[in-house]
Amino acid sequence: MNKDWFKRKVEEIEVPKEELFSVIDKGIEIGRKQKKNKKKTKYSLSLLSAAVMIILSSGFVFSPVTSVLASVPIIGSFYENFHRSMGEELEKKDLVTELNQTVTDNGVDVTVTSVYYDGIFFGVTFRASGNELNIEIDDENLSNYEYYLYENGYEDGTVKVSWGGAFYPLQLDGNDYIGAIELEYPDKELPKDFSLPLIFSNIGGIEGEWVFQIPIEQIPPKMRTLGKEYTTKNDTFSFTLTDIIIGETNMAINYETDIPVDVLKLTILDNKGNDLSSDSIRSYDEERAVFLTGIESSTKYLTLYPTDYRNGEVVKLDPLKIEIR
Amino acid sequence: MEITMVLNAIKGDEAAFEFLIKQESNKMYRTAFLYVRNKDDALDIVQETVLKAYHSIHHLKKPEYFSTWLMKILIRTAFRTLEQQKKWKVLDNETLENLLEQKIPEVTQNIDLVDALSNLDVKYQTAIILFYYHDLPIHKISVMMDKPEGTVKTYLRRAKMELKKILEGESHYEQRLV
Repeated sequence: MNKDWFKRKVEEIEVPKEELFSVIDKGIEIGRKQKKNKKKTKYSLSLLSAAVMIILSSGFVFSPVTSVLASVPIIGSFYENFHRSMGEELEKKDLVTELNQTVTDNGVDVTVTSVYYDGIFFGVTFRASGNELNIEIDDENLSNYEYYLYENGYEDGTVKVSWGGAFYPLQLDGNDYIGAIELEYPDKELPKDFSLPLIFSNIGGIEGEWVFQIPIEQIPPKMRTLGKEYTTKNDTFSFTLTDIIIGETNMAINYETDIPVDVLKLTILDNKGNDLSSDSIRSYDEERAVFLTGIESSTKYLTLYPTDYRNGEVVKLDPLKIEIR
Repeated sequence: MEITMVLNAIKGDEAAFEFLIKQESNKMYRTAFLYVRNKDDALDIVQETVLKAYHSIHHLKKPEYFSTWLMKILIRTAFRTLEQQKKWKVLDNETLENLLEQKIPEVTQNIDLVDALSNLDVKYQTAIILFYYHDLPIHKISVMMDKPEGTVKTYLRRAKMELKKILEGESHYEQRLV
């Protein structure tokens, strides 16, 4: 049979382009949702360890609690449950602020035991106890507590704030349960005297309101490039880097661009040609991308390659060279 | 298709995944259509294929086989749809009535390729679609259909003969089909 003829005939089949793209988007969306539910444990675990890594190597100085930590190793023993060596390291390096805030509701005590902020991420650990609590800990029961953030000033009908984040399911620890949460701060800079507005609304099936205002020490990010405008464009799109925050092991890039977010891709190389962006993307949207990656202290500049996919091809915009001071 | 983009998709880059899928989308739709012969079912097959691909792309070992891998998922999904339709047809009164009335297409009328294909056994359809539309070599079709190469060749030969019978009645199409 003649292939050309066959193909020509098949290509006469009219393609409902719009509907086709719409079912593709829907397929991806369903997949994304299913994946999110299915992989919650793994995801949280890996992010938690990433968060721990950030603390370990970021070198940020939190409020000094050396002596307290040395004698009351609450945090150490908490992290030991998940990552023994890291918990010990944390204890040694004093990179987490120990806290002891307890709120009681419906017979359940919730105590926030520690907090950190590293310029992009918050980490909170907490302990829940109460005679009423009887939580089955298994791989199926991952969402064994609920929390949300609220806008400044908590009252009835308070506005919930949505940040990116991950949580570690409750684990049994003696007669209590312990858990951990990691949250990404969406803005560039923390306001002065910021405290993290966190509410637990469900602990192991018990509904309630455990309201916390967790004080955060303002820790300046290690490095920030500002001032100079970095813009690159091609015949269709432009990309302007407005801000970049670089910690030891993470990087937030803020930008303005008309490249649609679903085709935008950022590649970041350091001056030695190391690809910092591959495997390290944590999140990105229309204005910001976060990478869980550090840079070496000897790094002089970064090169940022914004790209878009067009007409079946990758189109690279001219790279932006960002001096590191 | 860029290998690096497939690699990115395997690593979890959704934009790359979406881009690759959309690049293949016409082919996906038309292939699905060849099996089910209607828009809604074809779209359903595409959506289900995208979902399955989304969940399993990280298992894709050879990025250069992205397209083949995707079509394999699509064809299996189409098979399943056809199986389900068979079951439905038993319950579908209208179809039953049509069958009872023995609606035979007028011989003088153009028989569309899509209709002609639908008269073939599904394994012959698949062999024909992969060989003629997807331009795949026999050894790849053999992998996709989980059949030895010899069997694929037999399928192709018989499929061509049957198609010839159906289509050559319609001389206006192609003088030399086989």
